[in-house]
Amino acid sequence: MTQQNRNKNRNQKRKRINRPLSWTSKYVEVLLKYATIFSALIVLVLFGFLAYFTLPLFAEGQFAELFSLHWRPFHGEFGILPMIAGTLVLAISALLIAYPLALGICLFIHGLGPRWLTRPILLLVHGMTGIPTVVYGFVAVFLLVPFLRNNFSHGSGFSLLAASLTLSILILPTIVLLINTQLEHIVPALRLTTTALGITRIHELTRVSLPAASYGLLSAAILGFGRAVGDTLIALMVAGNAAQIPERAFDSIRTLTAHIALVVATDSQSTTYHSLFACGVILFLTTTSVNLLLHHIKQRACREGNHE
Amino acid sequence: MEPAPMKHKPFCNIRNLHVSFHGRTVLQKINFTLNNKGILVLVGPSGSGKTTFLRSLNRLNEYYPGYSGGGKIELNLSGSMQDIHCPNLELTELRRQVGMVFQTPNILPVSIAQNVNLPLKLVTGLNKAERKERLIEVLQEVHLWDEVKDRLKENSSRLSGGQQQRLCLARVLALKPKVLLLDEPTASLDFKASHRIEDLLLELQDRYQIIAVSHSLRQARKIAGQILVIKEGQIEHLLNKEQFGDQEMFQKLLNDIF
Repeated sequence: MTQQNRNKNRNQKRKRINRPLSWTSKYVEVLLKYATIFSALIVLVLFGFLAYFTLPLFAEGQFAELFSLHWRPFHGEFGILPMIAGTLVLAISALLIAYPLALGICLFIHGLGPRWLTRPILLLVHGMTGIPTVVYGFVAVFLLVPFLRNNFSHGSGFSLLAASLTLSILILPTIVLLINTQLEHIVPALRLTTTALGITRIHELTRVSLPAASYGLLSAAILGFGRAVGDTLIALMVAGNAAQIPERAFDSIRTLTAHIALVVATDSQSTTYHSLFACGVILFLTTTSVNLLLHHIKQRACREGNHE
Repeated sequence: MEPAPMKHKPFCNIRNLHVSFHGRTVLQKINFTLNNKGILVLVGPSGSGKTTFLRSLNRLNEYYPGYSGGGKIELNLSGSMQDIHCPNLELTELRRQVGMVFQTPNILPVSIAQNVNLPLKLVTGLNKAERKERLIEVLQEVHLWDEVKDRLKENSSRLSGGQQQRLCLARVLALKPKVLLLDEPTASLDFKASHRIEDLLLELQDRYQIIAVSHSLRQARKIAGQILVIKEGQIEHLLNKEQFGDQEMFQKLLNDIF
């Protein structure tokens, strides 16, 4: 679309919006406007609050200590690097397990598997989104962790591996549903064309539909990553919570979210407590950048006409 | 260019074809032999089964849920009559040889060149140089080359409706089909673009057996070698050029039918 056309469209939209409104529409419009402002303000206030509480760390010159490798609060060391590393390694490994699985499920329900299985699988995946996180954690603690402990003689079983396996199950439905929505949109329109051309189903999916859904595939990965970073309970319950840089799959790790939960439960006064706000800021910035990235991808997809 | 099917030799032989969807009969008792006498145009009221008839020939009906059908269809694809339901004939190969163009241009969401290249690559496995050659050849064949030669990498959605439809035709032609099935190929196009497509089809009729559904009697009279009238799932008439050449007589005949 040319710039001129775009402006024309925008003006038309504006005209449509500027039509005289009835009393109720006006009321609703005002209400929605304030609701929007309020929600935006909450996010800003949250960030301000986090930043404000992180400030003492700067003032007391302890900021550099945050980025050290050691978390020994009783020795005055508040390094959160192990937690940052733990979070990243856990989120990435969970994504590496869940993403190919999700992609496989989506290809299965969009043509590689029998048609009658589509609905049951989708129902199952939808059902999975409703299961409370704690249930996954609970099952992992009683089944997965002992299994790892007994079959691999490395530590207690509470480990990066246990957490990433459990977390991958947690983020799986999110990724499946996102990719599925994309494919539902794209596949029916393309399938008739490709079938009529004599292109096989597997070629259609891998060479035509998936490339056409590339933005959706990317945003599903980013959102899955975002969910994995933000999750607290799984890491807290099964990752072992040792504040160390993970080196092996059987190492016990601690994530930023679990770290906050653990410290808040025991302390609310000292510098230890303030360092949590730094963790909060990092998590906040991570999720914000994930969302901004998604927004950016969506806009680019719309511009190139590959979306909608 | 591959040799055109021999003139006046039966091209298509249909015996006792019947098709239904979800138990509702769409086509029944179709017995028909087509001799190659130019473009065959199917006309008939909406819902009469024209499109289903067309889709029987590349077995695309089977793609739709609730399909059931039977009967025998033979097409002259490689010099001799071949049963299209024969297990030896791969479905993908049948659909390559019996190309189809739809009512609305169904371009793939890729570049102009890729619209031709991608199916070509996936279906025929030609190498890059051969594909490039074929691309130019078919774009020239549908008179699109001069309009797109400088923008082959652009997204094909930027083409006009008429250009998109010609691109779809080129995409099918690139696969070297023997038959072209056209399902109201100009239904979504304006008058001028429709004319271009019609003239193009008249040019192509010597090289391919063309079977088209049309909703426009003007168009049917312009391009048809024979007109097949379908009503309520059955063949009502097969008209030759003399019968539909006289507009008044043709109109009267159709008034009786519709």
